[in-house]
Amino acid sequence: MTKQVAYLLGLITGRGHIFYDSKSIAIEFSHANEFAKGIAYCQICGWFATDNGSGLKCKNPECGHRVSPSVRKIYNQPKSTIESLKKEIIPLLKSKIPAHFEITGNKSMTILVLDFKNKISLFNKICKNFSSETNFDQFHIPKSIYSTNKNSKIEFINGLLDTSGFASPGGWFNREGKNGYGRMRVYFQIVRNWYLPVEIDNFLRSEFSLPIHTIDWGHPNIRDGNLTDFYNTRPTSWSREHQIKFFPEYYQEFKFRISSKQALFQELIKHNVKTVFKDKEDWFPPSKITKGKIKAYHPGENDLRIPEAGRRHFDAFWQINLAFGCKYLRKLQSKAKRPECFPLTGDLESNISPRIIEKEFNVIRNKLTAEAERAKPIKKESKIKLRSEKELAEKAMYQPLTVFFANYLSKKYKEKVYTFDTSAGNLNLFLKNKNRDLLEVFDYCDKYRIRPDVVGFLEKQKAVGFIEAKITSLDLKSLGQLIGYCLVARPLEAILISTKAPSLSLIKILKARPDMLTYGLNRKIQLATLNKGRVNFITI
Amino acid sequence: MDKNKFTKILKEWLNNFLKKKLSSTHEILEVVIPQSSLSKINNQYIKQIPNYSSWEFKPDIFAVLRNKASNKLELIILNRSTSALSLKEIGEINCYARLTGAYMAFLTSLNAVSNEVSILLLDDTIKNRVLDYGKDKKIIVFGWDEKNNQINKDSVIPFEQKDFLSS
Repeated sequence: MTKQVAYLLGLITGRGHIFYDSKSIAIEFSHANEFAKGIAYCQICGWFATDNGSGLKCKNPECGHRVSPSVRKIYNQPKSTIESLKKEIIPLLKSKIPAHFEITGNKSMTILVLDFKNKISLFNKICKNFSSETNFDQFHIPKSIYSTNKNSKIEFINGLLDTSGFASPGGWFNREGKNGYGRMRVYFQIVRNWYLPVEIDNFLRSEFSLPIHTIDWGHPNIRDGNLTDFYNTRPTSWSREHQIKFFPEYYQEFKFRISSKQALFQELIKHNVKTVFKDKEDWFPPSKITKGKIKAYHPGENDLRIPEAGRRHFDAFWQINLAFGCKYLRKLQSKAKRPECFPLTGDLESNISPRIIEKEFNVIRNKLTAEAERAKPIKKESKIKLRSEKELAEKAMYQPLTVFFANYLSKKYKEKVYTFDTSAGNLNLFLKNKNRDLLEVFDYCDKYRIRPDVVGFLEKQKAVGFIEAKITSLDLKSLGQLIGYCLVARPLEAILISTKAPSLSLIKILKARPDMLTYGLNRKIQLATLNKGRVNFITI
Repeated sequence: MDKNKFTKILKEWLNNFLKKKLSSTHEILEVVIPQSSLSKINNQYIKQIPNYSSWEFKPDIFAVLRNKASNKLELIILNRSTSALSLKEIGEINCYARLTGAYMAFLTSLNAVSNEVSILLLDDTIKNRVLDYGKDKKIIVFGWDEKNNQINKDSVIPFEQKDFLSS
């Protein structure tokens, strides 16, 4: 394997999308903030400074001076991403991968597109590494990477770093070093992929003997262990990306090719080397779970967004690593006096029955859960986000329309129909997060990042139907919105519905051009009104 | 940047762009920020285009050109947004373009296309369905570079229009 292909596989594993029909691959380079800031050092004592919201302040307790923001280097992320793609990454890839390269994107994300229409066998060869999966939230480390040479393995990690790696002084860890304070960390940000964090951890250990500080799982017990967010109007705040955190000084054989990321990486390395930290602080072997580390039960533990292996209670992050197949933990477990005890406590010597441990831990967890509930803040009226009247009125339509659509579709097509209010998010995420069984049948919906208000699924035909609901008079804008969804997904049925009659301008347009409702062969949007719970179709 | 300022900037851009790119084949008659729907606008050229009376909508900017070879009047429409473009805006201009059979249809934003739509439009089949509005005509989407007051070349969709738009 060439280093270019290995690097590309790293990019794809980190943030790739494969379009099998279009014979193209897209890679996301996200830069949520336009500017990234470097480390701020105190001009008086040289310690590093942090900003807790009221400006930069030196962390040295004997100094504590205010620090000017101008001491920090500032990096323009979108600019450096595009420049690095054009000057370094595309030329590197192009030297061995004869695809057509394009760049697209916006302020928060740059996308590199590789078009293989003229190199289909190469496209197929690359895609084979991802077993017909299409998105980075499903990818695993390709098997071919494990058997390639060391340089290619390094390039694979470099690709992962460029897409999912983030170096920021904000990730510092509370540690005192020989010559200063604060240990900088870099992290891989893994989105919705529950297998990749452990695979990356194990790969870095087995191939490079590198330590990982921790894996910050997007799991309720890890991100909201004491239910603070749950009881503070952020019940699903835990549902974020996973972060694999490491100390950059051990990772100097790797590099980012995105120049702003590489510059920050170098800043963080320099800080840690200068500050001098002796301990590797590898999470492995794991610390034992003592009674003080036990966490409260969280209602999100059963959330469908979490794959089955992780859909339960955990008291420590490494237990999730074990649940998702960490080979190092499994090996350690096999050496434990009672291997069945190990996943509960991490204790190799324990001889206590798992039932007894579980019972004892359960008492503590229940106590903590009750305490968290007692401590929940009393909801203040002013803090509740008030929805606009319009929003509420539109929302009130979804439930009756969901019932109507189920009846309408099953009567018309005489088959099993499921209908849902999908207005809260994108259709693909609705299926991924709330209805994985349905996603298996309607797998093609995985690419539909669209949000119709109500969606019907016809099981036998594997077809979908959409309703878009409005409380204002239907006009060309609202028709345009539904046309947009329909052109993407070609639903079997599409209904544009309002509590009010269509605007005269829309009627006039449709009288002259009835074809404006058409979105495919024999596919046409229907207009309707919702009045006292009854849906009435309109003929124009 | 507020919407009105952005519209004015785009009007100037469109005027210059049309002169530069189409003046050999077309006479640029007018570039207008309409105040009412095209069906009601008091514009001598629009009134000469067939079926204008059903154009009950208001694009942010339109231009009228005369084809030098056929003498036919052609319409160009442009919609703009200050936030990232979603399918809502794309669907809307798709309707406008289908309705008028516009010679060209542009959609632009200060923040280009939203992340989710960017990924959707990389699927050729979806992109063609969403951007096509008949007779091999495609909506052209681009981001506006506020700092440099020009098109962000890297944001142009479809990709094959990048050079045409920014050279």
